[in-house]
Amino acid sequence: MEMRDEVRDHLRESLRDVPVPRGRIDDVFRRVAARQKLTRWRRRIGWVAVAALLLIGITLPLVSLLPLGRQPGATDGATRAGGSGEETLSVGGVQVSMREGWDGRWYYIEGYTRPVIRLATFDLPDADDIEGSGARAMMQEGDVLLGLAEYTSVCPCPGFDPASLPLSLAPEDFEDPYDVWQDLPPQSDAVPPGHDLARRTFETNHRYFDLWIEFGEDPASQQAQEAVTAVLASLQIGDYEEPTQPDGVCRGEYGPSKDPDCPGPIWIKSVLSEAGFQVVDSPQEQTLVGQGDGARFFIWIKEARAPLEEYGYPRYGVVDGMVIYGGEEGLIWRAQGLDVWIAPGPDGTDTIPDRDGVARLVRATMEVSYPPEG
Amino acid sequence: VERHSGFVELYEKAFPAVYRAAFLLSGDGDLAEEATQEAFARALERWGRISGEPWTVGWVMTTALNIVRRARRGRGNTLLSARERIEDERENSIDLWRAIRSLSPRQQEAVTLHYIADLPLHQVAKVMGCENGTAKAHLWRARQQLARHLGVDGDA
Repeated sequence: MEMRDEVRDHLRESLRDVPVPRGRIDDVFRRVAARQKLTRWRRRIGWVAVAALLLIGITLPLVSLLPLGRQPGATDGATRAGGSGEETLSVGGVQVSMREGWDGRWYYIEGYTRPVIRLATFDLPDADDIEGSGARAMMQEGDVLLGLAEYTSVCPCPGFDPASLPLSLAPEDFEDPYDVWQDLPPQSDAVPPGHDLARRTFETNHRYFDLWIEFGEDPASQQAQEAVTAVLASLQIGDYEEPTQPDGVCRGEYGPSKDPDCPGPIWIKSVLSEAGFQVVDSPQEQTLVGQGDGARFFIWIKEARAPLEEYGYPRYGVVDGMVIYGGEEGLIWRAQGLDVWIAPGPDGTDTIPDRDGVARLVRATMEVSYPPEG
Repeated sequence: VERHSGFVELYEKAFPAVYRAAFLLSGDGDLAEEATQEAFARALERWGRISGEPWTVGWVMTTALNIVRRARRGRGNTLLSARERIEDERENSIDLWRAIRSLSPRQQEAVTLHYIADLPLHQVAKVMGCENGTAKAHLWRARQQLARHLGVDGDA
């Protein structure tokens, strides 16, 4: 019996004895009805509050919070804003203006085919992960970190509500920020208890986004929320445009097939050729696919970091002294300071090469020099 | 409340699986029931958008798991103590619960969707919002870890 079957059987056997209570569907309907009633009351209270504010003559301060929607002409590409005045970050068809003192950056992050945008009231790091760990480490009390990640490549998705811009923060964005259709980063464990988090997943212009705003305090201050509202009011989302790559910068940690001038994909293609495999088109935007001997597989590289043993994969085999870890669903080995990964290709029936093919690949990764010449 | 077409049927059919998934993660019957009820309530609120999809049950299940995680984050270790008190005679359940707790949230999600909700891999990937290969990787790593914790034999 394969391990997967034993694990599944164990899980199911253990759960079989778990007594399941009787469903109470009336309770479900009651919850929904109660919330609808609450929402109606909130709207009424909101309108009453707005009317009261207008009546006591604070229209002017409110208007001063609305430097909304202005779009100074900005060029696409990495733009760092901050310092004096309002500046615009513009990338991939997304534009957003920042208030004085804010920093804005966009990153290519592993697994994300489109730029991930970050804005903050403090200086952002040069590189970061999808959970914003680097930025979070620099946050102080009262700071704000805003992230905008795009999921268009895997959507339409449930829970991404159609939205018209400009966006503004709403109380429900804070009520259950993890109420999204998937456990999107930053996952609950990543946000420390002392931080407040607002989040919204939305769709606009046929593009799907996860917007999350982390506050360096809990609850978020009114001042911080107003600052975020002002920034969000400037957000514009048009059609996607492939960002221009700065000279010498190769995006992402994968070998991106669309960046033929980068050393990663050049090297991977040479390795595949040396090992007797072909390079085929990939439905993903970033990962190269190799094919041959009945196998079709993704192949990518990352800079070597932790010892391979720490990944916890079983030992698969040894080729010319090189230890390979993993199994039929993926292999990893280390060559020339790089972690080389392969995994079954995009189709559900795809497989990695057989052991002979893997041996050829491993040898090629040792023989083809990295970085490639020229 | 308007009784949306198909919701009652889904509730009756999927309630046990969603409850078991929530129980698997929480080890707490009360929390599992609360999370299950709340997840179905949220599904009802969004019924127009999620009904009729092959991943509807997966959506409800993932939502229930998120609720459990959020509750656990708020409660800290008190849940562990309660669970150990209640279940100290059921060593196997505790082992299983600890093994599940040892997984990352994404691995927990992959395991419950694939093994408890019986979703095929491409639908697991859809619910998780990732590529098939990524879902596969989560599942594979989860199996490795569960096998170690549970002392299950076998090769990958």
